[in-house]
Order: sequence, then structure tokens, then C-alpha cells
Amino acid sequence: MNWTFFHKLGSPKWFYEISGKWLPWLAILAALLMASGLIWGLMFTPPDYLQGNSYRIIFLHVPTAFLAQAIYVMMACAGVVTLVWKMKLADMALKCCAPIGASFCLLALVTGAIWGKPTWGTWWVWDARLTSMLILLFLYMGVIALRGAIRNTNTAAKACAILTLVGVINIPIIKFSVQWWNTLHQGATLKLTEKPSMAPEMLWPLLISIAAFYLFFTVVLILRLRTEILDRERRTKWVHKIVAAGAGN
Amino acid sequence: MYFESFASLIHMDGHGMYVWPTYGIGLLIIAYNIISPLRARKRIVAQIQRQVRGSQSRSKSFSQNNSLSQKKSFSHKKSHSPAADHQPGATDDLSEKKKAAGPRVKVSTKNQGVREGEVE
Amino acid sequence: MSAASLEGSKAFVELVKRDLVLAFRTPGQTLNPVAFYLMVASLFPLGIAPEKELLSQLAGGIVWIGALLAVLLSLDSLFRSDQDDGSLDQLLLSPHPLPLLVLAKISAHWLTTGVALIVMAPLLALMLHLPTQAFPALMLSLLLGTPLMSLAGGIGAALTVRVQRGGILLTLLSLPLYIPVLIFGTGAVQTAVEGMSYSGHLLWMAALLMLGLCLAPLAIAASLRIVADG
Repeated sequence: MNWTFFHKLGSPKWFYEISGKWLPWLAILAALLMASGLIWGLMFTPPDYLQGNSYRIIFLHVPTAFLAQAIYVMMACAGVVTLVWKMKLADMALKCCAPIGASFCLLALVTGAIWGKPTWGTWWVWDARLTSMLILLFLYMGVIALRGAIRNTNTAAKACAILTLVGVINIPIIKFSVQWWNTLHQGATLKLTEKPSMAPEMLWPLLISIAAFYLFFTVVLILRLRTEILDRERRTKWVHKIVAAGAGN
Repeated sequence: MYFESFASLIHMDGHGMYVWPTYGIGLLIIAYNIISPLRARKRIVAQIQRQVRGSQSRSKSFSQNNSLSQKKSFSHKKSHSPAADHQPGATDDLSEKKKAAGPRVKVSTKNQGVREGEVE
Repeated sequence: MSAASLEGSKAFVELVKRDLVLAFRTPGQTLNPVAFYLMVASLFPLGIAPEKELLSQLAGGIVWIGALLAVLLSLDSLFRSDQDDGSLDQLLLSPHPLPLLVLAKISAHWLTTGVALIVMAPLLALMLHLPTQAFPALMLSLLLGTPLMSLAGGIGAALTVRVQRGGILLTLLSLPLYIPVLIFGTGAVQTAVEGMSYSGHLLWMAALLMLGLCLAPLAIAASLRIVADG
């Protein structure tokens, strides 16, 4: 099998050119989907018979929670590619994903906490999902901190890759232990109404929101990656040409 | 629309004060994720532009000074050679290197985990 | 046994002996985590309340968290003194497999820190009014948990060994790895307090310890080589 296409994928210049063409379309699509999903969910869905109107937070909470976890897994894959194939682009992707994933993780925590107040009567509750998400935030913060602490680009790349891999092995262990710990300590009054079988009127805007956030993540990642590519390839002629032509896009 | 009036949309049967601030925070995070890369791009592009202009003007002045007798590496690209750092006329290079954020060569030899370009 | 593996186990033993000798030469430094342990455990009744009933409910958690923090503090010295005098580079150049040497260092670290914490634990548990039926659970869970914490913390220690003032970063990196250990350890103690069987918790910790023994030295060795090249 011809593997050149795979190695071409790792070329920063090629990625810069391709992403420049796709970016406007992806951005428009993401904006449309996000607006429609969120507005539909906010205004055009019936209130939940159990939770009233506060369940509308789900359209922010579930996509960001999914993405926070998916981004970490993507970082782990990028870490493997960095260590095994030593592709620079993979390391750049790892570096750029981290702040996005951390911000989504934080948003998931905050939206979950605020949702908890009318639903469970308290701002923070140590249920299994919130606790696992909090630990995921610690993992993100660790990777970002390690990246900042090591000056040399190559060393930082490999060190962050190893840390992300150790974290990803740890995630199932954490999930299991926190879930088990929580079921032991869970108060009798708590009811986890995370994902009951959803009525289709509520399911569709949720799916659209999830798709919107995935697209949004892609767009933002591409934005960051393009800047990172310019930064790391600043000695090449093609970057000088682009920069000289003005920072259009 | 499941809300009769704009007021009831904001109020949401008492849950409005949870839903709307949540969406506000969500909007903030989305805005951060858009603005932060755009600002970083402006900063990096300006940096690279400065660097390119700097090395262009320096290469012009060097070529004017007839560099046949001097060793090479008046451009940043060749600055791995140890001779560059020991040249008396290369002090401009050193200070320029310290100002520019080029990651390849660091002239500091402190123990900061940096091994590239150490010229001991 | 082949000659090579005999060499490897001799190297292992020699490295452990060397680290133990070094540790005993500076007893003050080696006992710092133990003193810290004692003080931290005393902070909780001072900060919360000295009532017996309240403390006996919290005692398992306090003893465990104190041990966790003490191990975290002692991790910084795992590789740093070797890094400072250059013997870490010698270890990296040695012909013996690096994971084996790493395991030797971690074993020595556990022998000087973890064992001391385990020995101190009953004293602290007494001070905090832990019900006596939970003492065996406490000791066993610490016996399984402290080597696991040395192993998991070694990864962070290796990654931050060449970072200036890497101590806090080391803590940040190691804490997510410690959380499952803490959950199972305190779970065992709490279950014992309630008078039920805690073998499940101990088995889980043993499983994690096996996983750590197999994988952590590899990760630590890889990390040491990576940050050494930088």
C-alpha cells in the first residue's frame, strides 16, 4: 500500500494550504449549526415535565462534556503518532488541542454545576460524572503546565506525549473507581436524570448541538494549528512569503 | 415557540436565572476560543515580519561590507556554526537572537533543559 | 539464569544498596516526610474539631491523605539529587536495562519513605481515634498503596527532573494518578470500620500495583531518556 498520502498528511505546509481552503466553509457551517441547535433548544422545545425549563442547559452541557473527553482521546492518539512516527504536525495538534479541551472541560463542569442547583438543590455535588470531569480537568492542566515548563520544543513534544498517554490509561481506572466510590456514598435523595430516553423534540436539537460543537472544535483547532505552523516553520521560505503578503488568513 | 411572551422567555418559570447565565458563560468560552487564536496569530505574524525585515536589512548591510574575508552565517538560518558566536562583529547577531523568539538557537547555557546550540 | 540477567539483578541490588546508604547518611532529610506526616495529621483536628466521634469518622481519610501528601513531597528527591551531581546521566549510559535501574531507585525510595509512613500510621490512627477494627485494613491498604504511589509519582518526577522548581508541577502531574489509589485505600478502611469485608478493595489495589510495577518503570525510563536528550 502506498503510504505517501499518510506522510503527506504530516506535512505542515500541505496542511496549512488545505486548511486555508476549508476553513471558511467549516466556520460558516459550525456557526449555522450552533445557532440553530442552541436557539431551537432554548426556545422551541417543550419544558421537561420533571425538571421544567432548567434542562435546557443540556444543550451546552452534553456537547462540551462529550468533546472534553473526545479531545483528550484525540490528544492521546496525537501523542502516539508523535512518539512513533515523530510527525511534527501531530505534536502541534496535541499542543493546540489542550487549551480547547480544557476550556470545554471547564464549561462542562460549570454548566453541570449550575444545572445541579435547581435539579438537586445544591451547586456542587460529588457525583461520578462531575468528579471524573474534574479529574479530567486536572489532567488537561497537567499537560498544559508541562508544555510550558520545558523550553526545548522536541523534548516538550515527547514529554507531553508520554504524559497524555499515561493519563489516557488512567482514565478508565479513574472512571471506574469514581463511579464505584460514588455509588457507595450516593445519598438516597439524588436521582441522576442525565440521559433518560429523550423525546424526539428534545433529541434533535441536542444532536445538532453536538455536531455543532464538534465542528466548532475543528474550526478553532485549525485556527490555532495554522498559527502554530507559522510559528514553528518561521524559517522557511513559504512562511516568509505568506507573512510578507500580509496576515490575510 | 413554547413561550407566550419575551418576559416569560427570560423568566422560564423561575429557571431563567440558571439557564441564561449558563448560556452567557458558554458564549464567553466560545468567544475565548475564537479570539485567543486570532490574537495569537496576529502576534506571531508580526513577530515573523519583524524577524524577516531584520535579517533582510542585516544581509543588505553585510553584503555591502564585502563579507569574503569573514566567516559565513550572517543570516539566522546558518547560526548553528560555533564561529558565529565568537565573532567580534557578531554581537548584533547575539542581541538580535535574544530579542527574536526563534526557538532554534539559545545562547543561554543555563541549566534549563536546553541542549540545542550550546557552544561550550 | 543467564549471565546477563545475573548482571541485571546484581546491578539492581547494588543500586538499591547505594540509595539506602545515601538515605541513611542524611537521616534528617530522610525523616522529613515522616515529620510532615505527623504534622499534617495533627492539622486536621486543629482545623476542624477535636471531638472523638467526628474524628473517628474522618480518621481513615486523614491518615491516607497525609500519607499521600508525604509521598508527594518526598518524590522530588527521587531523581533530583542524581540529576544535580550527574549520576543520572551515568544511569542513562549504563548497559543495564534502564527500567530495571528505575525500579531499583523506586524500591529504595519506597523502603525509605513508604515503610516509615506505614510504621507511623497506627500511631496517627490512634491519635485520630480510628476504630481499632480498621487498623489491619489501614496497614494493608497502605502497604499496597505506598509502593503504587512511589511508582506513579516516579513518572511525574522523571518528566520534571530537569525543570527549574519542578516540585509543584510534579504534584500537579501526579495527583490524577493518585486519586484511584486514594479511593480504594480509604474505601478499604471505611469498609473495615463498618465491620464488612474489605478484601475486594485490597484486591483492586493489588491489581493496580501489578499494573504499576509492569508499566511505570517503562514510562519512567522513557521519560528520563526524553528529558535527557532535551
